[in-house]
Amino acid sequence: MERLKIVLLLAALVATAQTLPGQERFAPSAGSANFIVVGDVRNCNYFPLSADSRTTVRNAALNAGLLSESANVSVFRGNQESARWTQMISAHSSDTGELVVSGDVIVVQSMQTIRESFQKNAVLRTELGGIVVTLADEGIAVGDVLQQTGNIPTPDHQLKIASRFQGRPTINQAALSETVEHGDVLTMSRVSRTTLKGFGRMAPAFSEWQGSTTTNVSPSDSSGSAVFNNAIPAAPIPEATSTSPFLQIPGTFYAPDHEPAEPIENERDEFGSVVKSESTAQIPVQAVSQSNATSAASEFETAPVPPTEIQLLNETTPESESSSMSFWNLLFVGGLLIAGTFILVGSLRPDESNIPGPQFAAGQGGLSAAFNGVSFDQTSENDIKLPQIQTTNMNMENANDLSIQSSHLSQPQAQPVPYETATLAIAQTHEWFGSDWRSVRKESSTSQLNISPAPIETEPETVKPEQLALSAAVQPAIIERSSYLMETIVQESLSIHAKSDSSSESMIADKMKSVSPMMNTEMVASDSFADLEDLLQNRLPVDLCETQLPLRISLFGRPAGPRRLRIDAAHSKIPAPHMNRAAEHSKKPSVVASANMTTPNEQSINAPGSLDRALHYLQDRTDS
Amino acid sequence: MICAIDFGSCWIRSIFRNPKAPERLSMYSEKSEYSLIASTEQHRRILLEHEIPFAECEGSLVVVGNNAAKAQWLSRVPCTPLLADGIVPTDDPPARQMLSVLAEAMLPPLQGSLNLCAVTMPGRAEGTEAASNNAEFLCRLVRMKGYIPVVVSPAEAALLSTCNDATFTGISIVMGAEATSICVARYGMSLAKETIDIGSNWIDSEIAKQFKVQVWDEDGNAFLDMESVRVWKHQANLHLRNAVGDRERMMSRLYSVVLDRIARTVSLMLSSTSVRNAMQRQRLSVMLSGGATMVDDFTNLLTERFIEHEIADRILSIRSGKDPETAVVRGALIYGELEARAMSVEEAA
Repeated sequence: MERLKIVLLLAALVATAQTLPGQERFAPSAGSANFIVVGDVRNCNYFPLSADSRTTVRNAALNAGLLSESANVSVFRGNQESARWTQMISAHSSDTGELVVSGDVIVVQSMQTIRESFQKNAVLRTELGGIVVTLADEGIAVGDVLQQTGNIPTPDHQLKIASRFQGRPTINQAALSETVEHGDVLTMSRVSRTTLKGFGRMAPAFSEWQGSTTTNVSPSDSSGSAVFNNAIPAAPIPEATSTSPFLQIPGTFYAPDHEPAEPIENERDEFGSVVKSESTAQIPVQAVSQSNATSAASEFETAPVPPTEIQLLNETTPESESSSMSFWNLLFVGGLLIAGTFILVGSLRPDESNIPGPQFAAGQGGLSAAFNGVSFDQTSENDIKLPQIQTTNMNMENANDLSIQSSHLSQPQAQPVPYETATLAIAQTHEWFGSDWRSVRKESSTSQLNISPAPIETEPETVKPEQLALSAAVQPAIIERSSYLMETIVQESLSIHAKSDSSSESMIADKMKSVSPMMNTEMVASDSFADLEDLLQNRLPVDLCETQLPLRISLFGRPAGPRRLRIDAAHSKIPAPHMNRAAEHSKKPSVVASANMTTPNEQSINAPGSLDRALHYLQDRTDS
Repeated sequence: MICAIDFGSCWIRSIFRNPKAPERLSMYSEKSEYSLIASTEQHRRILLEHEIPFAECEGSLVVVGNNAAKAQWLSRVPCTPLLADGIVPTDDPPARQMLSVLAEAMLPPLQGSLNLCAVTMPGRAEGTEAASNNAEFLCRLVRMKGYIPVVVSPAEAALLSTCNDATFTGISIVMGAEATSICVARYGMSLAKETIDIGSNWIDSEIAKQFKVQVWDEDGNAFLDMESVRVWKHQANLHLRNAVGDRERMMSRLYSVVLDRIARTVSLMLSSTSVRNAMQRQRLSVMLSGGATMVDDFTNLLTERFIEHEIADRILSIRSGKDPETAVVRGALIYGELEARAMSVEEAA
């Protein structure tokens, strides 16, 4: 009956569900000429290109309102995955004349500490264009942004954070749980391993939604919200929107030109309910139209109204949604009802969950599982999770005070009668040739460094009685093996040094021989060579410390810089083109021909900049 | 105090026992590179605000070590290696001073009567002029801190830290950024060793050149963007034997070239008199260390090269050590402790 209730509840939910235009793909500025300015600016938004397309990058950044005296501007152009060039601008800097191109994403990073409050923001670049995202709080995940913009990634998509502030490293394969921070440039693009698309895109990007990491904020908490701005022309927003800007439902998603104010409120509620029903998305990411941002930023400068093509796109959105969803909703509800019927019929059959098959398998697999867990030291630590195995290791180490690495006990076929296989086979237990040791290399450095036994959590309630019995049976044998192995190691190390011929080695051997009477398993820990043994066995944990460098020092000389990496020097200033178009229509001697008549010396003397070069040369000589 | 420092072309690492807890090791790890930043008041203020240590040189600011990456966003030129081509630079005075600053900061304070530091040298084969210059300069840095330097080759050091279960017998291969060090040892005693002046930086630079992975500075000078290639190598889940795409295929070919040279060198070493007399026809384990060996299918590709050079029957196993990036410095510490014990025995005698 419980299942039936669940099925009926699901069916009721789906039947009452309506189209959520907010989850539809937003097509920003298709065919229009505009650009985006985000980052440390007062007005992060879309800006239309001027009619003559003569907007420079500097002017675009200044118009958006710098938050500090100077800023570093990065420009993402076209499909480029990273900023090809950057520019440092300020109110007093000269304009380099670099023009803004349609579709540019200009990221402004302040060079000084920002004193005034500002709205944190980021930008999402998709194949259809950029979307400005305003971050109302910390902890907004990439998945939240993608979900609310309707850009749910498929396995063909690669999601990367192409640019971040403060020198934070970019992420080529960003997880959906990755936190979006101020100034981030998210890029979502399709991946094709057969084509060249730049570095970092060779592997198929498929990241899983991990919303559990962003569940600190309750769904009703509007502070943890991301606001999507866009350049869609300002829709008629009700008066109430100005009081709660982050709770508004946009004209962007709902096409308010065609909907009255009340339906907007209703749809907002439904949208919120769906967000809540998504167990993976705990943070309510809601959207407002660009008019919010413009109203918020109106004291500085109002963003210009984008071209009309965008309006046309939005007008077509609700029709297609309303026409397409009714049929599919009904179909889905029908399918759910059929599935519910099957589940109901299935529930009437006798419950087979207590069939002893799996339990029997678990019980029988205890011994082999225990040995598997003990043996595979080269595999990642995630593979060793059986609590009873770890308990066995711990007991062994506690009993003998000998941290024999589990790799020495690593014959999966080594059964509790181990002496024959363990002797002198320390190297041979690892024998392989050309095998794949991928898992070894994939271990993280921290896990590799912390070789010492980590704190082991035992879960007695999960250990079955049969497994406990098996582990108790195995434990003495392992302890015996460990002591025997230790003796073997000691004997071998003695034999190593005894066989050598050099003086230093013989001295070490003498030292070891003098110590050898004490080298039994009871006194290993107290001997100095036991410390060395720990070091040799890589059992000592390593603490990575931070180097304390002086904050500010002076060094003598001029640094060479990355000359070795330089592959192409900058070109000298290119002279203007010498095209004499009149020569095509007249028989006058061309400028090129006349230039050929001059001598090389005259050319060099008359060439622009030659005097400067000579003066610089003289200056350099004087300086030197 | 016994410590070890590994002057690598990519990383500089030092390690020592924690004086307060000898059962634990402490390690410093700094990238051996520096970032050039324009010497303006704004940049200086930003660095101070972010508490990024920096140095003032003639005409520019410099951020060294791991902090270089933090400050790289302030610069448009790539980071400069402190040990370019595996050589202590003679034409870059600030780089030499930065090496001194790093060594000063990374070596622990002196303690006790015997202060020994095992040092591994970057790149370059032993016996060459560049190697002797490296050793002279870097050992001097260690002496200035008060330690007695003991030079050990990277392959020997890696052997001590990774071949414990093979009774310190086998072939140790350390593929670093600028050089590859190979050592054949029996019971910890080196029978033959060799250094090849080729490493992962050569592979990265060739890929960057071929596919024009470049960055430009304000003046329009183009530089190879090696860091992008490194990031790509580490993040793209590359497979050397199942390469997909032009870049992966090229990387596989380049690795094949390097491994071919390694296999040829190993073949020559195995046929040398000292190895033949000591080892007879004993099969040897091959232990791989160094960051460049962490690419998937490295062992399989090396196996193919060994088969081509007809020495596969001499190889017992090929394996990658635990934490191959720090194997050298850990082995150097073992070497230092062994040397310290030997010295104490000598004194007692």
